[in-house]
Amino acid sequence: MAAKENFEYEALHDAASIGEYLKALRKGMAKGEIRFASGDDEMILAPSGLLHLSVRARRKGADSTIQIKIMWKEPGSDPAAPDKESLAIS
Amino acid sequence: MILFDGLHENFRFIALETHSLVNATYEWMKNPTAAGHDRITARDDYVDNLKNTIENQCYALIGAGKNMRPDAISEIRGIQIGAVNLERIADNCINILGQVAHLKDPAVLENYNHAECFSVISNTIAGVAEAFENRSFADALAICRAEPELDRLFKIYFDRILAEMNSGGDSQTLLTILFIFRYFERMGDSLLNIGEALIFSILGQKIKIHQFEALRQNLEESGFDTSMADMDLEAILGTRSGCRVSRIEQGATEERRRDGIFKEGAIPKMRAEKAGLDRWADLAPGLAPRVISYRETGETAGMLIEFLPGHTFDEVLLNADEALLARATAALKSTTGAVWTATRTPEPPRIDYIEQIPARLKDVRKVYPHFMRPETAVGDARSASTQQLLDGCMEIQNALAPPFSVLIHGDFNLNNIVYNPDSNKVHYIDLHRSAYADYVQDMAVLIISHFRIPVFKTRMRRRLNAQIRTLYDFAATVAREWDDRTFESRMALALARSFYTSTRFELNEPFARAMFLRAHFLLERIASHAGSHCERGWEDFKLPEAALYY
Repeated sequence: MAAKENFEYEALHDAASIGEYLKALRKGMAKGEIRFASGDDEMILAPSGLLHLSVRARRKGADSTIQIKIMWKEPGSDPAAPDKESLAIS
Repeated sequence: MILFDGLHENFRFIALETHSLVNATYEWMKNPTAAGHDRITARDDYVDNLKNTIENQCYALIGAGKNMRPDAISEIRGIQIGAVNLERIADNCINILGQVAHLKDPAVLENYNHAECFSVISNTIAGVAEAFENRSFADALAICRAEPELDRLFKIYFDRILAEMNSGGDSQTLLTILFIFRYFERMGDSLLNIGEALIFSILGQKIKIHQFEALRQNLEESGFDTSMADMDLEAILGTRSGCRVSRIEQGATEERRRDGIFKEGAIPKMRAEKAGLDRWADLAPGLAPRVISYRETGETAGMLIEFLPGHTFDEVLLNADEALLARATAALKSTTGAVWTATRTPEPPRIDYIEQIPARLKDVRKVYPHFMRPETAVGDARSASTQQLLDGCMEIQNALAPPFSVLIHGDFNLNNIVYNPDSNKVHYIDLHRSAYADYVQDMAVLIISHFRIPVFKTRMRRRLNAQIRTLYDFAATVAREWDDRTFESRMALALARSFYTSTRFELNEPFARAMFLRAHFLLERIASHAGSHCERGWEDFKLPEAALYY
């Protein structure tokens, strides 16, 4: 697994076409994996375990935002596993 | 002349010193001694120092003068360019000294009349300081004329040296002499730069000597008084298209004043513009400027056209009060509508909105390399790549022939429309792209020239958006009245094209991105409508009007 992989997508939509994206995400969550592809680059994320969901909504003047964020730790990265390098305490 | 402490004195010194250095080089060549060589090199060091001092003074003056008048800045720039080129002439004298050292017998130089070259250079430099002090056009032109004269002499000696080499002459000697004449020719280039810098300093705009000559010839033919001293040339705008535009006001009494715009550019473009203006003059006298004179010289053409008083529409939009803007907009709609009505022909024009995107993509990507989207997928939700969208929309475009043609402006940007509040008349300028085509093209360009104004204050943005709505409604009304059923789909393509290609002029990245995203959004809408199998095809397409506003 590469240390850092990125996918970005930005576009204008209307409510109906954004619905297609939300549906695709919901389907991926149910299946346990979501594929993100941009040209020849591909990344598959598998949300599982403890998922941190944050939903933010904001209205400021004429501009409104809904921000949905889902965060989790990859299963391979055991938070209790000992560090490969010895820990020096001085 | 504007006084700057010590700057003019230093410029006079550098001109005098360079003049002496040129003369000393000529004398030295008759008797090239080591001591003479050192004296000339020392003079060159002095010229270098003077140039540095002048440059420092110029930059310091410009840096310190927050509210400096534009003519003062022009004068300082002229002096700086003049000093840099005088120093280059001095350097070329030193280069000549270096070449003479390669001659087996310097006496051989006597067979070549280099005195002629020295005389042109020396006499020209002798007048530089005074020309700058008097800010004299005639003297500036005289300085410029040294260049063609030195070119002519170089050609004569080049041909002669070549012939001598071919007939077995000593190549080291001949090559060295050729280099020496080459340096004379380069000094001519520097003199031209000096003369042009003075013209620039007087006019406050960059004008090349050949443009100046073209202007003079045009003025002569058009019956303007050709005494340049009586004229006031004022730059009114620099266009992106590469033609220089100047307004000429005669210094004579108010009643006899005639205004003109001088344009100079490559022949094909100037011919196209003249043809456009002549056509408009027949069709709608007074709408476009009249051609006063036209002349082709070499690869460029100069044209003097009528100056139409008034404000360009962007000035009206950004500065006028609501009542004046409403009056100007009403005049614009009525003029545009009248032109369309008068020129409408049933022949459908070819449209090439989509083709224009790849044609400008290189320029867009120079500024924004990432403004080309790959195909993307989030799970099952897919978005087509830029290329896929362009390919798809190209096919669609071919099925969308407009039902009629009208004579369009062809570059219907806000700054190509002039409104005269006194006569309440609208005029068109810059008509070199005018042709029988789709009226939607002009309206899309006009709408985007509103959108892309980088003004973000809420009140002004509302005004721009309101103006866009007015213009869009006007075009949509015309479409309904003339039973143009594919208006909205062609408008979407034309707007996508203008949004996309406008990004290359916009250095504010978020604003450029907003236009890039709108271009894609419109193309995606068109592409998805093609796949939706609507009953009445393109007649059912609805342009998402929200994309027109920012």
